[in-house]
Amino acid sequence: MKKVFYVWQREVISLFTSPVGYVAVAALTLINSFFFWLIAKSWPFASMQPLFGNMSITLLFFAPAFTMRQLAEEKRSGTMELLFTAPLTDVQVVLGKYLGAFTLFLFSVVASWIYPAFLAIYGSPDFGPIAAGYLGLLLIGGCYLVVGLFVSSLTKNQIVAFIGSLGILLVIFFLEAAIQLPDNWMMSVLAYLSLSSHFMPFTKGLIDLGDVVFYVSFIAFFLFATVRSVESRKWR
Amino acid sequence: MIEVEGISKRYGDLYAIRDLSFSVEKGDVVGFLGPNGAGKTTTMRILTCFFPPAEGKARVAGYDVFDDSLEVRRRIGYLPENPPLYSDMTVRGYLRFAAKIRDVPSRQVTKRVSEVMGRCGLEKMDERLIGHLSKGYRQRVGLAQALVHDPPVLILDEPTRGLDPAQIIEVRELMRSLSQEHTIILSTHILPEVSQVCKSVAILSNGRIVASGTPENLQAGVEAVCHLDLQISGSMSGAAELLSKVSGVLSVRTDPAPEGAVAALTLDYLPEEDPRQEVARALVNAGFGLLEMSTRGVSLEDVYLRLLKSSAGREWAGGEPPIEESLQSGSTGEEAVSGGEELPEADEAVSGPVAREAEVKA
Ligand SMILES: Nc1ncnc2c1ncn2[C@@H]1O[C@H](COP(=O)(O)OP(=O)(O)O)[C@@H](O)[C@H]1O
Ligand SMILES: [Mg+2]
Repeated sequence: MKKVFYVWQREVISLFTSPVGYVAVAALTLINSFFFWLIAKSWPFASMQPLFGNMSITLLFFAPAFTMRQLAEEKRSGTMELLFTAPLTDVQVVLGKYLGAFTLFLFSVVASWIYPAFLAIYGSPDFGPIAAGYLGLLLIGGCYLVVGLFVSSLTKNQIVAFIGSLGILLVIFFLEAAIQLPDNWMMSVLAYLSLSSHFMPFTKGLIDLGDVVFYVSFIAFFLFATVRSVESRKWR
Repeated sequence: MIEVEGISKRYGDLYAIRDLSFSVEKGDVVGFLGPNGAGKTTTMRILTCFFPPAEGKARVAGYDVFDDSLEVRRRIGYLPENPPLYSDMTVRGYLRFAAKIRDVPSRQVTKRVSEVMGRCGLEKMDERLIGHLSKGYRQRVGLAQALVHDPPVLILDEPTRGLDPAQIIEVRELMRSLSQEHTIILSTHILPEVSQVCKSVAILSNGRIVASGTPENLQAGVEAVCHLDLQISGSMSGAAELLSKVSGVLSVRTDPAPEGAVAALTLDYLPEEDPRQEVARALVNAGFGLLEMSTRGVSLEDVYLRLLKSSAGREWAGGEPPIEESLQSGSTGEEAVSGGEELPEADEAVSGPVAREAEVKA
């Protein structure tokens, strides 16, 4: 556990000394604020529900920027050889990296607390659904990041990692559209696997254990896949 | 300290190393010598547990690199071919990180990092960003990283690559001082480095060890013929003829462009029939002035080139750069004889060029 902490610590230092971290958090906050302003003008209720929907999509474009460096750059610069010849397990490295990206994401989430603060000043929002929405945002954000980390483990090139994870995320996010196709079991499976279909209930204040389990298993699955991917250097 | 039995590693269809076996005693300094693509890096990655061998066994300090990988890693300091540096960290921050992931106890991290910065000449650089350092300092940080947990075994992949001559000498000095307390494996394609730093050498080619031993033994192995360099005054053609008749002399060559009346000659002879006294007597008796006489053994470079030539033809044809091209003579130049110089056959003795050149002189 201490080793995970050391890897995490280095990751956070690096994310905050490179401009990528600041720029991504700042740009994300800017775009969210723009949507908040649009929604506040047209939506008569003191509720975060539509903004959560927007945030889940803007985040989808930014999460790959948080993770694109993480393993790809280690491979390119050769620091991979430091990590994987030190007395660390592959699991410790992957977990430390994942938690590092998650920490940067948390900063952007905390920055978005200005919106409910505004709502509280100018209206009387119900904080139950807002808390549930934030839980949903953390979970779906965790899914984005783990996909990004996984794709970053497959390449040496940050740009490839960014585009690749964005593409995969867009597909997984919009799998829900499959439900509009003629009904059969495969379509329902695809729709179930969609990231977006599990998100809406949270924004309405409904925390369904099934949705939580879905997201947590999604994260666990891709963490496992990432560990296998970095392990594959051993068998190639 | 290190035992390797029949390890192999393949990339696709190509064997990077094949059925490699060797062992390294505690306190040894072993040099892997070989052209690019010989398999040096691959072997080192197996020893450092970056990846396991596809076949065979490797043990470090009694622990298997696959079964007890974490125990092996604790005992090894590794400097990869490209120093594994995070350019966005400071030197001190980076070394602290390296110490912590290498199990240096928290209370000792600060002390160890300062010690190792002193040893590698980094005291004044401690708050610099690694990305702003010169190549020489980056290499020192790489070495410091490998030393920070005071490992019994050091594995250094081309530690002097890309450094300027002064830096190369510094790094060699550092390695020599480290060899007091550590077992070291280093790889290089620079020949003089091996004989300066290493107690023993393994020559790799195409994923196999083609020769190993101390630098002296390797040289002795092919030292069937010795050379004698002479400088004399007087007519060259007469001298060459005279000397070729001395018993024990296999052949005589004149070196091109001798200055003025001084002529330079090289004799080949078998070590068991040392003709030096006879040569001196014959020259003096015939009225020549003997200005200088010195013997020259076979250099490690001769051994290296011959072994590579004989192994390259046999095994995988193609896929390898020509040996001469990838062989870089040491920048300090000690010991380096002109590359590719072949020992002449005995039948070349006193051949055409000698006579012709001598006529021009006369
Ligand atoms: N990642 C890799 N993928 C494919 N082939 C590789 C890889 N790494 C090394 N090789 C091949 O393995 C052989 C040995 O390489 P290496 O161990 O790096 O040699 P050296 O360090 O002696 O220059 C070379 O032929 C090289 O092309
Ligand atoms: Mg190499």
